[in-house]
Amino acid sequence: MILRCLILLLVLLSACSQTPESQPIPPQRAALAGQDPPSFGGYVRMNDTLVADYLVSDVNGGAPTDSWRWTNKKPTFRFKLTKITGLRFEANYTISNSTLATTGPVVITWSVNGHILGSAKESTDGYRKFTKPVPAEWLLPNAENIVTGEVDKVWVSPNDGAKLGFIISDLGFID
Amino acid sequence: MLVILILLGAFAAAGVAITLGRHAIERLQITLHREEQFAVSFVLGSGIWSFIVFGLCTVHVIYKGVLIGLAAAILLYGWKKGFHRLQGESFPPLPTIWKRLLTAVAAVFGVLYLAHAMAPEVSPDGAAYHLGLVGQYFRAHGFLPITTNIYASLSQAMEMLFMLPFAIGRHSAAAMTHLTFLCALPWLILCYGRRINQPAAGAFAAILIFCAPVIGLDGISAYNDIATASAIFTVFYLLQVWKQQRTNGLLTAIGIAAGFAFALKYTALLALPFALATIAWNMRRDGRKMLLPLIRVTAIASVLIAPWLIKNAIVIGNPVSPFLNSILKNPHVHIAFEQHYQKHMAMYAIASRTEIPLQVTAKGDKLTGLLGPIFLLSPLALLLLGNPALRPIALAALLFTLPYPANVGTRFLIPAAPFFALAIGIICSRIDRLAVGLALVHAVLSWPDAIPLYAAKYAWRLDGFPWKYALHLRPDEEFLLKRIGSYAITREIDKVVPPGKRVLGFDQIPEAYSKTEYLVGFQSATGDNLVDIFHCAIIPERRAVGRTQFHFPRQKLLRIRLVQNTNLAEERWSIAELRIRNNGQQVERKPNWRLRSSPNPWDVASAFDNSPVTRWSSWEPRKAGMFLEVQFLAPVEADEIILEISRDQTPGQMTLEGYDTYGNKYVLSSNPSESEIQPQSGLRLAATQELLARGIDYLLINDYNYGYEDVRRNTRYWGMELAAEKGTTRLYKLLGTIPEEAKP
Repeated sequence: MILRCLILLLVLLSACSQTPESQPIPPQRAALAGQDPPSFGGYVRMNDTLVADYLVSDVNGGAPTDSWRWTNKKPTFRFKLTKITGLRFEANYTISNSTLATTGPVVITWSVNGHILGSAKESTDGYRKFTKPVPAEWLLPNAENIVTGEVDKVWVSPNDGAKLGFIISDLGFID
Repeated sequence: MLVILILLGAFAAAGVAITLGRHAIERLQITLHREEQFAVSFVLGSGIWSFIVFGLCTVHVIYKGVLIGLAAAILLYGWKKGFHRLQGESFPPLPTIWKRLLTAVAAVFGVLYLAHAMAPEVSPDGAAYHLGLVGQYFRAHGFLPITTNIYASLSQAMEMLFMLPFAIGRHSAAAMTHLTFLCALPWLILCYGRRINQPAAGAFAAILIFCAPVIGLDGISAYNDIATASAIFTVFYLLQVWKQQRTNGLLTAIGIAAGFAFALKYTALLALPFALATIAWNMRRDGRKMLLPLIRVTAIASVLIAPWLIKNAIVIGNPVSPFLNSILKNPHVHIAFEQHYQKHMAMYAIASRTEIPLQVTAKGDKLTGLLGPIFLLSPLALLLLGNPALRPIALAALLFTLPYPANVGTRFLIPAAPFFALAIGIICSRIDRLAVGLALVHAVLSWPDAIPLYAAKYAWRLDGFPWKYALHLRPDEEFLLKRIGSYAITREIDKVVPPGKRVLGFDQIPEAYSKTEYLVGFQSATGDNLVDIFHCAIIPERRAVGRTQFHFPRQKLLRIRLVQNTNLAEERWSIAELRIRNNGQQVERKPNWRLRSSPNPWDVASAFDNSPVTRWSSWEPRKAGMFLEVQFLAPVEADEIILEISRDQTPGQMTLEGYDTYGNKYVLSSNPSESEIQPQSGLRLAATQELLARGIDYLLINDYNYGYEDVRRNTRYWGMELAAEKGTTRLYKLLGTIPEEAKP
């Protein structure tokens, strides 16, 4: 009885909802006047809209909104730089305790256009930042610059053999 | 001065509630023990006062003078009537050990809670919408027809109670009002124990509830959970009194408390059927007619429940918004949102429901808060089912846990927690020392400094002892900047955004500290559409790069209808543009064409606006029978229909139907061809222009929001300019044009 009354009350109250019978044609939007930006630049976050343009190899796929991605052994990225002087390379990444437990401490070596920029030995899990100035002579203006972050040991899945290195969030060149 | 105003606001709110409650108890001729009178009066009076403030909001007379004047008149009346004096019989004295333990716990935790409640309000929901809405109503002197915030559609009796203290002592005074409930609830539990001759159990349960970390944290914030639990427990309490006294006045009071419970929180509606079932059971057992008592309770409760349903029915078109949208369809909350929300609330961050017991009692990070490890003994409540006198406690514990699976946050166990605490108390107090020991252990484990010893690192809990901020010896801004990550940008928004301009963002901000109109993307259908426009410009899968072409013999048509034939529970159906063509040319769209769609008829125009960043979407799982329709007032000659669609949906079976000039229906085509089209350039600017056209003037974006980096790097291509920046949050002004220097 009470339940019926309640349902009846809700139905009556919902009658206030104004469902339109139909709608007219709306104002027509003008043809697009905007431009698209250049395809890629000197820094990328993994949830960047153009992230695919920066990935060369060994970085796992992810949903567009994922702010991080697993790497394989030698993740490789490309960047386009309009200026090459006074730049620092920066990478923000995470070492996972689940892989570290199996691999033990790992060493990640960062290279720019084939030049070794530096290494970081990671013995504990957590968030890391690697940053170091990059000599201008290593860099190419208005062309592709290749960056790799090679990890010496990867975790191998016992189920499907998938290899996991570290978790990358963002990297690139900054002033 | 602020400290005095905060205390004044809180005392005024409590005083008004107690006065109204005692007046009601006197008129209803309810006999209570001395110890019970203030707490029961406070809860009943809060229900009545919230109803009065609802009325004031409805007629738009929410002014500081009106609230304070009315409160003063009520308090004066109460003083004259002697409502500040206690009357009647007392309970037998409490055992000394419990009296000492209760006093010690109340003193230690009381000071801690007082310090937190009096410090500036920093709770996520309190600062974002509980007090955010209070601020909006206060500025508008009453209710606003808010359709862009689901939280404005929830029942808001607590917000009504916040109005008076907010008018006097601002945010902290409002939080103090919730703290008053945190004092009333354990007191009621204690009194209940004494009323059923289980004083030790009552004392034990009162300590469990008062100290429980999540209850303390909730109670010092401008939330509503403790008030809800208090209202529910008052229903339970008054039912116990009614079993002993059987007066109509008690039935009225039960109705008030049950209605108030719903007015505080939808999920507390269960208090009403619980009351009705209890009354019916007892009347039937005694062989007495039950109809009139049930009608009385229902009618009184309805007086407090109905205003919220009616408000929603008028503003949203769904009396129980933001729920049941698939039945009570409306333009303001998408069904997809509701489904997503329910899915999230059912799991939060846990991978399996087996994590729940430890999370809600000892870990506290994934389900936001912990009750304390002693609550792991809650299954003991089942033992009371075998005892007819104590069975209602177990039944109430189970009943008020029923809504919990829908939202597994620890806070949503608070309404059931008093009953579990009582049950544990009754079982454990059979060995008095055991109960005392457990209560002591619980108090120690609940102290903020002890929690990190066993809980998860990021457990939601009270942090520190902010007495300098409580006494406002240090600037409020300092505390707010420290505790609320988005406070700094919120202040910037108020500085930068002119009055009357609207800001779109993806996350909540502490709106309680802002006067700017701010839309949170996920909080309404409007917000969903705005965010979708933004995302259509940059997420490749959302761009309209798919083309579906229906060819058919040229003919004159009075109507076309595109019908979906595929069921896909995981996907929505969306169409960016529907173009009607003849002989290779688009037929010009005429103002007198009529557009229809089912579902979501409110957005159908988005498929006919020539914009690649807007789209009609079902905003619910794709189902066979969904359709879009165009009716022409004069026959239109056509031989082709083109759909421009995004690739975030699986191609499905569709049928194109046509109606000729005689009204006959034909299948024009059910075998469309699929192709790809080049994405258009300039979608970013188009999105900005569309947002502007829909009344958005600024965009707030955090570095973890999708598109942050794109907007940061390509600001000019979006037709925006940076207006403010704090930390990793940026505020952009929408211009809608590309500055000259960005053009090639």
